[in-house]
Amino acid sequence: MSKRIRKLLSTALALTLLLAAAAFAQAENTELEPYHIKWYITGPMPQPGADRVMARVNELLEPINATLEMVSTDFGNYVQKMQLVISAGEPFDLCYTSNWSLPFYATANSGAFLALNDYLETYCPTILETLPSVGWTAASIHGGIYAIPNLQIWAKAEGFVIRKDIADKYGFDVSVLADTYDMATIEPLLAAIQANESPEIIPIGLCAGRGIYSNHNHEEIGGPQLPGVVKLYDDTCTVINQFTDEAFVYTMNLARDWYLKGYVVPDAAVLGDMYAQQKAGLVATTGEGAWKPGGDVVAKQQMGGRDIYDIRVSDPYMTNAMLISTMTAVSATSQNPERALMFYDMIFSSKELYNTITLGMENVDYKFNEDGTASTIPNSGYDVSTYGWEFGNQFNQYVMEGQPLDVWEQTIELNNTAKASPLIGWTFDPEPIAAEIAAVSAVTGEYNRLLLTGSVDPETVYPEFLAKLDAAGAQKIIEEEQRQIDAWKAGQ
Amino acid sequence: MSRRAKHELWHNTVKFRGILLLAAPGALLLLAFSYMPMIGVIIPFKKIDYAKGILASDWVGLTNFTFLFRGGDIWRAARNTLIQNALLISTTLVVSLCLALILYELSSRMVKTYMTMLFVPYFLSWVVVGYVVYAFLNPSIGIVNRLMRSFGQVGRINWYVEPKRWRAILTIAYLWKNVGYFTILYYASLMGIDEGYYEASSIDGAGKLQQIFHISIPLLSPVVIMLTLLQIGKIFFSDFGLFYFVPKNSGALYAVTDVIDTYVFRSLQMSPNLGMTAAAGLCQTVAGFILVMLTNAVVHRLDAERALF
Repeated sequence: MSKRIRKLLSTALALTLLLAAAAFAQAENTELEPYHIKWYITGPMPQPGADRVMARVNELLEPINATLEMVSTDFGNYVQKMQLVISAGEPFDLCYTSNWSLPFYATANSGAFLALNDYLETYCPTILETLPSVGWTAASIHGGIYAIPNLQIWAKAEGFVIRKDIADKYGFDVSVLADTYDMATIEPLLAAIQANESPEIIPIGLCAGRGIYSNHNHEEIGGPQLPGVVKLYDDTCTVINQFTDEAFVYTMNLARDWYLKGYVVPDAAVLGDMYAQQKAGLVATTGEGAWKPGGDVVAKQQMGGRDIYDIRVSDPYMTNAMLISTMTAVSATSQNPERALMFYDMIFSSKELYNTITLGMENVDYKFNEDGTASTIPNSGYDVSTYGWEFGNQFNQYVMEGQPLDVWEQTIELNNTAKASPLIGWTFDPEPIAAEIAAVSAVTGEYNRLLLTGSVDPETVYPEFLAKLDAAGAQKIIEEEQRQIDAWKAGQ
Repeated sequence: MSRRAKHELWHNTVKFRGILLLAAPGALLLLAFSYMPMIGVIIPFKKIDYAKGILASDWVGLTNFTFLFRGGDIWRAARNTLIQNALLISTTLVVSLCLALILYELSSRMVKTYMTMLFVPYFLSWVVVGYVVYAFLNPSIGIVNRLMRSFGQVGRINWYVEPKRWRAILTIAYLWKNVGYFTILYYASLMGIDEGYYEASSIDGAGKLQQIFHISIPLLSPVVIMLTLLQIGKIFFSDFGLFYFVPKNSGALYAVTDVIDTYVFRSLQMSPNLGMTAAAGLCQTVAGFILVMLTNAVVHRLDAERALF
């Protein structure tokens, strides 16, 4: 045996011993086998700095001997991607689900998610303690809990944003809108902008992806594209067709009037958003997805840093749709749901873990300011801070620069004081009317944007819309929704 | 099988082993990607439950198909699919054939330049083409409306709300993107024609046009027929990107732009359902199959030798 080989062998022996010792030590620390958690999310990745942040996350996960992999798909393709993953039976652990992307009820009904009832008590003590019970009610289907609602703002209020410089210039009093919730009250402002500002300025950023809201006050049962809503103040829970409701007609006529007057861009019906125009300072006023405490910071950012009025234009209500608007489900194909849930519980219990996932690493991706708020460090390569609602408990997020220090207290307060929709706790089962839902979706997909942006003449197009809704089975959907609600109420 | 036949099969297998080997990869791919997935033909008739798996899911008869015919818009979509594709296929055929014949007459150095220029748009995705079209047709700052204004035209055309010009717009966008591809196919076939025909005909005093009509086109026709049949077979799987991204999914244009694919996409986008999607796919396949058989039958009647099968 040559000297070299002998040397090699002895090194190998030493290494083996070392590894064995390490493994032994590990086994003493925790009795858990190493496990790799795969989490599908939508939106923010890939981030150039993801590798180093994940390395840090994995350090934090050492107590449960797990490593994390987050796979992200953009909003447009998430549903298709997840359907492929699910129908291929690919093993994964966690995924994002909601009422708008990878629809919760339909996907859970297809058997893709694991029922969590038997796991929660053992593996998710913090979540059970933190999450209000109403959240569990919304995530239940026939008694089985199929997802964990992410803790964030659950009270829904509509918002409207007006650029401060412009409103002040024309002496527009925003309290009129805030008091009446009536969108028609901003008409004088729009007219003044149209008459006096340069033609490049768009008086109202109304487009397909961002409608205006005027006193609808209803809970949508199967999403915005499906007929069937219950008025929030209606304890009898009578299902009505929102497309024939006077609020819809009012908004539609208002939009048409504004479109003809030139307050709205002519191709509004094909624009998904107007962020680029907003950033460039070309949009004077715009609807807001949802009004929330601290939301003015985001709105200001979207308006290119210009000061704004952020006006709440509806009463806050807690609806099923809001409760299930961001959730995380455990896959039925998970190889180790226990560990996935232990990890998810950690997101609720460990501020450090939550903020590492959303903000990255301290002093690399974000830093603390003197007042205790955090601000992101630009171009650090990792920042998913605006996607905090996707990861468990948003109230764990450090308060960001510009947000009020008590933003989460305000939000919790809003959640607690908001009136609850009469439908909370009821879940809609779309299965019996799947054919009608598909047919009606095709109809609303065609007309809704056109009518609500004012792009077409309601005189001729609206009757056409209603006739097609009828033909596609809108009435049957409403009857089925009513039947399910009545059965649920009778059982209470 | 008789002993003799067995012997012959073995004999032939050995004899043609080279050719069989050559065919093997293609045949295997065809088997894997075209024949094996046919098991999926049961999916439209089932209520898919991922927990049970495809085979064990419950049978539901034709319920997955009903959504297609519930609203009545499917007929509009079918009509648009047929009309628009007839336009696309015929114009592509004529334009690319003409271009190929012209290129054939040019010196070979210029041909490369032209070919590259024609071929580049083929590699763009429909999303990009959609934005190129939008740059032309944006109602406020689009090139077309600005040009019209500078020529003194008052008022503007709100392109994405008025459907009447969209059959032409879609055709132009499609031609711009795809003509290069077909031109190259036809050009390559032209290169394969024996020079002798042309020499002989010019000795007999045939002009360029006569050569084109009596030599080039007849000799190209098998390729033309095959390519056209292939395109017709895919009609019902219309080019989704063309019909979705180029008109920017504007509801006001559906009267002419809504095809089966966009209709199904819109129906199931919010409530995805494997059974219903598969049902739509099966209908499209069957319709495509019928169309191919019909076209082939027509070709067969006109000229039996040119038919594909």
